[in-house]
Amino acid sequence: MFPKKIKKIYKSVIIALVLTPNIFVMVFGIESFPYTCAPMFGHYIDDNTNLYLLKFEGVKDSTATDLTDYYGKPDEFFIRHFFSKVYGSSEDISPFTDKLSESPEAFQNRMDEFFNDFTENMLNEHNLSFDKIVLSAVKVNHNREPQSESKIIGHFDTKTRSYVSAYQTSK
Amino acid sequence: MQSVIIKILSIIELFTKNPLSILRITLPVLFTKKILENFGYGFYSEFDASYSLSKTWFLNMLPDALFTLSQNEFNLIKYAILIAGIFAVIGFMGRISLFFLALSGFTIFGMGEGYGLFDHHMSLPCQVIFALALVPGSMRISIDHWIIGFFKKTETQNMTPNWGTKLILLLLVLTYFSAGISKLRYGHGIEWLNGSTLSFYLNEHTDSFKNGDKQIVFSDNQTEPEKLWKDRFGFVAHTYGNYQTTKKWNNIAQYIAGNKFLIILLSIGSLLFELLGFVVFINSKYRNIYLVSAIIFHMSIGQLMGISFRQYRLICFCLIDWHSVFKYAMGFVNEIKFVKRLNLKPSKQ
Repeated sequence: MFPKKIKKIYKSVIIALVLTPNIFVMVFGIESFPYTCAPMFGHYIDDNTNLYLLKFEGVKDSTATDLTDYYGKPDEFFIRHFFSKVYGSSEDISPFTDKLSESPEAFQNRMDEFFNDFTENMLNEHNLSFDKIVLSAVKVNHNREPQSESKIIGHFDTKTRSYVSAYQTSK
Repeated sequence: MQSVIIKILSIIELFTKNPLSILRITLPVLFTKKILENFGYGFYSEFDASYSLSKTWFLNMLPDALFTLSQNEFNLIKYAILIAGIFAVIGFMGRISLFFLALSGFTIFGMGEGYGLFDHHMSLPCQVIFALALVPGSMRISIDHWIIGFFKKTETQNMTPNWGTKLILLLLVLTYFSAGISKLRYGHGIEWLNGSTLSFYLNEHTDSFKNGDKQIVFSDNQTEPEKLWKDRFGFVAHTYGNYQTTKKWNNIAQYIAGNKFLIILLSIGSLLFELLGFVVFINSKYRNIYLVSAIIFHMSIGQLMGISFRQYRLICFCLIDWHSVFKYAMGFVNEIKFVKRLNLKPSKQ
């Protein structure tokens, strides 16, 4: 029905269309549905690996509120979204996003956008407003039993609408 | 009787010669069901198009208006997905239906990724549906093929062109290969083979913890100090879940996790399995052994970790070289004295 040459070109185009994105994400180690470098169960964990729970707390007039019940979704989804798409890995290229680079500016922009959206949701859905949202990490064991005091990673100032890293401030 | 048996054998042989058609008939059933489940789950209703961090590369290409549909429009799309699923299965307007299903998958599971769940279970099926819409051979057993054959009196090609099947096989193999490469890349090279990572996941009971305590993130002791500019912890990844809640399987998983020999064996086996998928192109025997191993691999993960990967198993099952199995079986059956007298030859080979 079709000339051989057209069939050959069609075949090459389809093969490239189907395979190229997969090879690309595999080589660079990124993912964006449906293409993935398949990082599941890949990161090394042993008895010495430090495990953490990430916690969000709203602070108003020095009173802190645990925001877990206000995530609007199970914590698995909320934290995975936050870690994958917002915070990002400390590796140069995070395997959970489609970003090929990372910089302090890009990080700041993502954190600001996330917290602005989060605080807006809190106000619209739960009529809650805070002076700041504190992000902290609790070191735990495999059974989620705390192994140390909660440590502050940073906070979002709702007045300046900007995220402030505790680590950068302390340096 | 002879002619009836030959007819039945010819039909079986037709199916064995057309794995992509079998895949097209079966995969959209599971795929459509999953899309409709996710569409109703809230990925759509909670999706905020103005929040750029929830968008995948594909969602970025779509107009924002698509994410603010009225209830009627939403229902219309739901029915369109259902009809596309049915049409894909029966092969009526098959390619368009498959294409529509694939794009729906890119959209809805993409929204799922933005919500917080990158559904790795659906990434390969989504791409296979997309490929089926484009490669020759997927419509060989379909209403479309019958209609074309009805109007076009010339003899249609009997065999599925090979490159479509090979391409989908390559897609499958590449998916496993990527997973293997990731283990070497993020697992401290071959240190991943000491079994501690798998042991961690086999001992994990994600569903037993209360909301807020389920999701763990972790750091890596080997992170270089200059990379610690976001925080002092150096988080590298979030964990994945183990959702098996049956006590019997939890006990078996714990036994394996606690047995150094078994867990190392399992780790080496998993990595070799993922990296050596290209053996499927050597010959039918290797292809079939590999695909059966893949099905067993997924069944084991399903039992030990509660992650079914049902669609992967179906894809592997359909891609088995059933024609070589059929020929082998026929050769065996034809050796039987009684059958020899019937002279069963379903087609000219």
